[in-house]
Amino acid sequence: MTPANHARKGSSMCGFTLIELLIFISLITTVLVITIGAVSYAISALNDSRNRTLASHYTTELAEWMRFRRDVCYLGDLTDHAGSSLEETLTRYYCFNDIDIANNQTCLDPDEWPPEVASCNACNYTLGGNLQRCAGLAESAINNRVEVTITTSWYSNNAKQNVTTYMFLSSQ
Amino acid sequence: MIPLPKQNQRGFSFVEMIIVVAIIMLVIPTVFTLFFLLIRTQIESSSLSKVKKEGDRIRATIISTVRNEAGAVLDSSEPPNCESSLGLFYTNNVCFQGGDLSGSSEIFGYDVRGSDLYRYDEDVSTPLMVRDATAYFPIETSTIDASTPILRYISPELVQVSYRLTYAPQTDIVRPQSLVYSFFVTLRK
Repeated sequence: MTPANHARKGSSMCGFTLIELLIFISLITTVLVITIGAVSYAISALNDSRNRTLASHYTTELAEWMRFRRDVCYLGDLTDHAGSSLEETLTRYYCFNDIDIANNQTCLDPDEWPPEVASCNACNYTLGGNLQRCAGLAESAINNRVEVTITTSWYSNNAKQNVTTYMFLSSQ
Repeated sequence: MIPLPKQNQRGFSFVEMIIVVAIIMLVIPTVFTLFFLLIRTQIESSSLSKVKKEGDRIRATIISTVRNEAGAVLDSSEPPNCESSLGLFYTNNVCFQGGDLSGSSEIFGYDVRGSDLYRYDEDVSTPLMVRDATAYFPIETSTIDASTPILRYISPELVQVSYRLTYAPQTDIVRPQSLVYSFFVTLRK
């Protein structure tokens, strides 16, 4: 920036001209806006990456639990909780936000399954602070299979993001 | 001395200075806060990625080892149990019997009292504990804290394995990142 000590002819006042000030302020503003924008975008991308890692882990965890139910509690446990074309609901949904999957495997207690919800939108974002894990079960007409859809969602920049796994589980 | 010509010099006024300082004091903390947040988020994200990557690797190794080497899951509450007849090594109630289920059998399991995981071969009457680098699960790493895997007997061919991995970054600004792994292994043999 031009120093302010060049006296103008015929004037005892010295300082920046209006153009100099405008250029200076424009430059500073541009640099600040770009920097803050870039940093904000980086923070958002990193948060999204972290949420995606967690979502992937939680989705795998629930998929493992579903396979366990199939192997140990037999497919009937899944079909009992699945919707079918014979019922009003083709797919039945469950929120798996609060259930302790690691210590939940006796096949005896009906409370092992969370309460049914109308859709995944009814689930809260409480898993790990800001995630939502939901499973939809539908009984397939082919070979007595159950189609399981596990979705773990979160919000990033006001847009809903999710990690989804589809599984067809049939009796072994 | 030659007197300097008298000049009408004029600097910034007090109000101008106050305004400039106030603007700087508003902008600098904002920028620093954002950068601090960026660094913290970056450390959090990379720590979690490390835990996930390591946890997935350990999970794959455990599944591969158990599925391919074990012949049965044993619950030590019922014979034949996992406890060595020498009375030295106890497992957390569950261990695996080797693939050859007839005659001399091989058992490998854990010693939950220490951080090491042991493999021991049993010759029916005189159990012999050996450390076998190829047999224990490589769950210990230099930077990630790993709890000893907990085995849960479900059936002779099915076991649940659970463990927690934690990574604590070398800074106080980020909380330790941890993931709990819990999965089921069905034996192949």
